[in-house]
Amino acid sequence: MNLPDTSSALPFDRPVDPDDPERARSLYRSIIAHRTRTLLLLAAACALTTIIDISVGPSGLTLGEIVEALFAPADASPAAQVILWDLRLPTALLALAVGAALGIAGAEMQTILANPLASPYTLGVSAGAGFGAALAIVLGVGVLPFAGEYLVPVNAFAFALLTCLAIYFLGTVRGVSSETMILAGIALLFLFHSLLAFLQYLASEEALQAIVFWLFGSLAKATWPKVGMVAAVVAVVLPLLLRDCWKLTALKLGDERARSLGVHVERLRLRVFLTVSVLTAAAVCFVGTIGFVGLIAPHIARMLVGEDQRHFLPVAALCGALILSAASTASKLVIPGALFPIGILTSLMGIPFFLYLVVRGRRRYW
Amino acid sequence: MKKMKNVIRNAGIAVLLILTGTVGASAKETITVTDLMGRSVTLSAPAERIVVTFNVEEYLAVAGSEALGKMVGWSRNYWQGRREWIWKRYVESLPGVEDVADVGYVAKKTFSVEKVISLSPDLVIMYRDYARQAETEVKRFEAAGIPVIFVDYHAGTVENHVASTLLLGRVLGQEARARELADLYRSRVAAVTDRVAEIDPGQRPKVYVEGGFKGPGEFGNSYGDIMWGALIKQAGGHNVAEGVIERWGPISPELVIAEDPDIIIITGSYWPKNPTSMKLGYYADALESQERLAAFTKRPGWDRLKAVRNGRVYAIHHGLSRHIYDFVALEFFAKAFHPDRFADLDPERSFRDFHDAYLPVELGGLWMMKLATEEAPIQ
Repeated sequence: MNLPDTSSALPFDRPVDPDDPERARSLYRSIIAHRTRTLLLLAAACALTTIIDISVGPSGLTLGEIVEALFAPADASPAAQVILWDLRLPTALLALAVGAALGIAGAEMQTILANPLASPYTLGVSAGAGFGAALAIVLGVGVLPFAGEYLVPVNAFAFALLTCLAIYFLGTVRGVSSETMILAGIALLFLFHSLLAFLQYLASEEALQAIVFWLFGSLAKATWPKVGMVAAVVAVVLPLLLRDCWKLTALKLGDERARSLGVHVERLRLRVFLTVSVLTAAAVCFVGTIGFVGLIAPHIARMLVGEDQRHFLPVAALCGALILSAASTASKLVIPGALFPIGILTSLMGIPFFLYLVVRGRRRYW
Repeated sequence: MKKMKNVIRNAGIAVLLILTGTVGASAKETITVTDLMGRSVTLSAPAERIVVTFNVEEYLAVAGSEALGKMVGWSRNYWQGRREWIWKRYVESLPGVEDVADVGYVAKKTFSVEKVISLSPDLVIMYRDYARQAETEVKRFEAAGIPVIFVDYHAGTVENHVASTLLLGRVLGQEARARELADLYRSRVAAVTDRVAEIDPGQRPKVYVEGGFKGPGEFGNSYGDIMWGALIKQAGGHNVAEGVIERWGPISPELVIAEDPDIIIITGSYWPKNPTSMKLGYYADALESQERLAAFTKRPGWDRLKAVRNGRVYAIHHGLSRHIYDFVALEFFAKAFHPDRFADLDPERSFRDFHDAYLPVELGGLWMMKLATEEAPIQ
């Protein structure tokens, strides 16, 4: 990740001569070009980690066999076909989709709540999902009857969504203020942790192990339908959010200023929060609590391209995808052949990198 | 006359009291034993007021018909909530088992020192892992003068099984019965391992074993060197999880495909909250268990695995390892791995016989099975 520092190129840092519109225009163009480059670079990095991700695995398939299975599946050995198409590809793509979803969700939560600590993880959404999953694992209680194989994810999804709605409605009690919403989220986080602990207390040993494994977060349950579902949600949500990108950028100036610019702040906050809720719920319900990709991906994005939502949002998505894709590869290398929970790795790998960026940064990003 | 009568009566009572007293005194003796943690424990044997925290089956098997009367407290969660069908079976067949005081379960941190002390036991039976998990509690019992012994059936070695059983026999005053059990175990294991020793390493099938709690949708735990992993080795198989995981944990689905095991074994129990988990036990229905096991073979790529193509997919009750009767599982594994060599073994029969001879309940349901195929349909 050797991306150039954009901070020196920000338009507000240096005065621009009003009599020289040409220079302003060229400066603007260079900023946009730089951000677009960053975006493309990140996309390329994601593609690279994905290729590495599908080349690594305990079966020791050679690169040739992988390429053959990928482009000429009919000629490949049955084992290689299954490994690539049923196991490695869904896992690698789910990592991308979930990472992107969490990156977007975190970015927008931080934006609308005007708080650098907001993320699906810190606001209790993941904890709500975990409680829902545990409810299915321990008590067999589901929000949808006959969900079968999808009992756990459906429950996790429902409870993640429920948490978001609870945060929202608690937040609206005294106007839609971001402080109340954050406090409500943190309260819910602790509530769900207690409820989860209670379920663990009730659980049999086998169920307990299953819960713990769910909470660690894992991509091992990846299947094509799951990849499709998460990707579809991302594909629907991203354009919806980008439609509001100018308003969201304005929100960053503070509620009052945004209002004076004609933004209906409360309505925007509600709309974005609900959109992001669905996105978060979809992301965590299949994979469990995957660390705080949703917290750090937006911060990295902000350091790279700043707050302009047109670029901030896609870059946050790509950062999330990149982190999770890299973690997916790493999780296969920790104990070859065993299923090492990816959630542990995202934190272990993410934190030092994040702290490095925070300490190294020359200017305040928040 | 009346006075005389009273004197005689009182004398009679006195004699009776002395007699019972001496009988009691002669039966009770202070012994020092070494338990499976290598601790030296002094206690008055046979113990009459016992708290059992694990390995309840072994306690019942060794203590015999008086076992329940002497058990003043136990970890009820050992069965209730953990092995629902076993609990149901015992409640149905062993009146009074529900009335035994619950002292909590160590693994769930509900184990109560105070409850145990209030029952004034003269022996607490624990298993090896609790020495670590319940270290504080054990110290408190020692301080309160309550002897604690550790047994160990988890290691899965003949030595520890035998030593644990003999130890139980000694402290419970059932040495003959314990010796009989230990001999049975030793001979039944040897009957398999002696023949396994003759098998050429090249003929050992590759075996994948998985705990069937999570159902087919997600890969459950496999076992490294302990429990099922140890049993695979003993029965003359090569465990695909060996060297990948040390104790237990799921292995990569990809590894299973790549290793292409000759035999797949899914463990089952009755986990009522998990509708897709492997179902086996005292009340299992053969048809339903077949359906549940068949669902595992529908995992991506499994239709091409040797084990599935050759119809060598099995299920066994999860509770059949780490017990004095785990030779039944060993026989089942050996027969599955080397059907020609071990055609004479009848593990189901072994388990039934063990129930009849040593356990207070009757065997029922289904505890081990082979997946039905077109060539070998359900009998």
